[in-house]
Amino acid sequence: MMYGLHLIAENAPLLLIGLRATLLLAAVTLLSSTLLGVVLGTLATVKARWVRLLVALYVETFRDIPLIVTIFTIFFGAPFLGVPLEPFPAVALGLSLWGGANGAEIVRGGINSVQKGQREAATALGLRPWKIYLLILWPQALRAVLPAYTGLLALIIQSTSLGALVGVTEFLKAGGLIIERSTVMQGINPAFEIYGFVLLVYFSICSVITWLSRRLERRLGRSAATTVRAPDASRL
Amino acid sequence: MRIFRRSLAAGALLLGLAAGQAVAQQMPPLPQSIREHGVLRAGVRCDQPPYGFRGPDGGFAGVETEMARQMAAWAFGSADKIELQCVTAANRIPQLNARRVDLLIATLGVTPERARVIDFSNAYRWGGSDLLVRRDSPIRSLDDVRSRTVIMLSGTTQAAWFDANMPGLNSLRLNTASDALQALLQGRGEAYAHDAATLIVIAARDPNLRMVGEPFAVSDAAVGLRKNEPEWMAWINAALDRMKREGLYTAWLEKWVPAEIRPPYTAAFMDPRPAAR
Amino acid sequence: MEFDVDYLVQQLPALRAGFLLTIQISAIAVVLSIAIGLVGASMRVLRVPVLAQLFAAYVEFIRNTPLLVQLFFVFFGLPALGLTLSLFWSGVLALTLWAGAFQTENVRGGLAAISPGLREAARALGLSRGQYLRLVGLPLAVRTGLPAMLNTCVSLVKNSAYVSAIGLRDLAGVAFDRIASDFRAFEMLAVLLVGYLALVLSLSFAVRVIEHHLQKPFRA
Repeated sequence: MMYGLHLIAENAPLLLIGLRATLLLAAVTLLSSTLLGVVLGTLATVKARWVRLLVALYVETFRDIPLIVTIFTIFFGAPFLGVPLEPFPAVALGLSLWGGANGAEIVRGGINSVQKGQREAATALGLRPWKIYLLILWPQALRAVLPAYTGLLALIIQSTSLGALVGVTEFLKAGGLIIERSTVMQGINPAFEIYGFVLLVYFSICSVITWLSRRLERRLGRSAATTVRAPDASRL
Repeated sequence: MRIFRRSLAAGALLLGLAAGQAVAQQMPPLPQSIREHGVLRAGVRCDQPPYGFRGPDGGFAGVETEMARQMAAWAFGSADKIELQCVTAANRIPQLNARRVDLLIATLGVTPERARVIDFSNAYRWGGSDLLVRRDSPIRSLDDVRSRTVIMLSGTTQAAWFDANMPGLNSLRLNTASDALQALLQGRGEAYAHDAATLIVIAARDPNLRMVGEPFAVSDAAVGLRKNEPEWMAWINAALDRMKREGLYTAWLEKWVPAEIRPPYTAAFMDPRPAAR
Repeated sequence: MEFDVDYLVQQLPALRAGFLLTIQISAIAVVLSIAIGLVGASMRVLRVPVLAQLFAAYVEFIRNTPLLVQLFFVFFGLPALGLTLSLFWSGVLALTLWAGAFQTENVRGGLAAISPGLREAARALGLSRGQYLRLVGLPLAVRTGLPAMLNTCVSLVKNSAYVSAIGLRDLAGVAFDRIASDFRAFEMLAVLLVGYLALVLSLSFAVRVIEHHLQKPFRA
């Protein structure tokens, strides 16, 4: 046990590099997921049925295919399509498509949670559709959406660990490299301590975010008619 | 040891620089696409001593890593102009095709399946496979594993060999040598099949393990390149030739392989490939 | 870009075996995780001294850590504690623990949704808290929480693909292993995409049918 802890201290630089990659990957994913989510989620509330159907199709697809399969498909499949994608971009793309699907659901719920009357009144007042969204729907949806979105952030941070499987040196992979070296060169396996440590770090980061999400829900939930539920990790 | 290593590195550098002028004409031109990167981006193993592994100081180590560094020296004038990337058996070829690296010196055996998706340079050594078992194991020959669980790495020559020759075998496929070794020590499998070169090193270090000693799946090892890069291929082959001519393999083997187990490795680099199952 | 149908046909037996393994692992994990959910929610509602806090901590921990790391910890790390599970049981354990946390919350939510009137009535009738749970609370909670519980089950089946990361040859594992050796990514990935989509969609559909059926007495 002590040896494992000693290893962690010794390899702090490598672990920090991994953590940095994890956070960078999460940030990139959050950004693109937000963009994608807002666009798709908004499209999911327009009158045209076929548009809503298409969005629903996309969302259903990327929430039903296991995330690990999505990422491997992009990583192994991209070269076949003639697009050589390095591991980091491949994982970022996969996570963004998935995050965008979840984000779309949240945004859709948020916009739909705004009282119907608001939309009708705005239309009656003669506001153009894009103005309705910009001035009425989005700002109000934001309050409903924020807690759920924070929850999604925690999920995104957790899913960056999949990058380890395709060669991105993020936090989990950094831990794996330490274990590898120790096992092969010294014959000692510190997997318990190292993976335990990795779990604790993820827990520390995500529990803070989850706590934040719950606080936001309590604060903002009071005024919003219906709060949008965060995509539970169980619906990952 | 460190002085020895430093002087060896300095020696290689000087050799590269000094000879570089005279020999420059002997090496084909470096392709523009490679030169553009400014560094040699090579994929190497990080879990397979003595060819590619992480040294005690955490840095890249091993004979194949030396080969990569030497190529960097010849290509860019300095052994430091290199970007080494750890690859596993399962992801090395995708990494190459994804252009994360420009070449693979990663215990890559020549097989027809791989030749469909990448190109191989001339072989620089051959390698055989073997089984690692616990000292008290009843397994004495290759056929003894038929009714048992064998641990191996996904995407390796061993995996392909067992698929072809023992299709009904109960095999446990993991991702790295350390995972496989751990699985063996934890009793998750009765034998661990991998490149003999790596197993020798592991067995030498652990008295509780021994090798079965029946070589199988012998294949050439070569540098992996993306398809349709003839200029790069020519350069790599010239580099490999030069390494052999200048006796660099011997020097690297001396550096990374303890004398008592060195003979099989020297044979792998110098002698022709033997026949086996 | 050719699609080698012959290769695909050749791999069908292996893929079928992988698919069966997926079903096997998922089925066992579903049953065990629901059991954990029922026990965990009961412990928390009954406020059993140590266990309630333990379950609360357990749920928090699972929800805030990645499933992949949990899986690695179970398979690679537990042996240090003397608990060396086979590949199969490591996968089952990790999935069970993961889904069990969510089922605990689902059942707890179902219990919380029971009107206080029922609880008071049970107490007035002299039922102990344990009896209340067994005869009134849990049955009702499961009824209310069934949609969420079934959704978690569907997610469990979907996420069973993670076990391929430790080398378990379930559907995803077989496909990835073949890609590593034969490089026919296109064919294998197509099978995976279609396979998991079909599996999850049909399960979701079944869930929706069940939900619809359960709503019957409540619809005017």
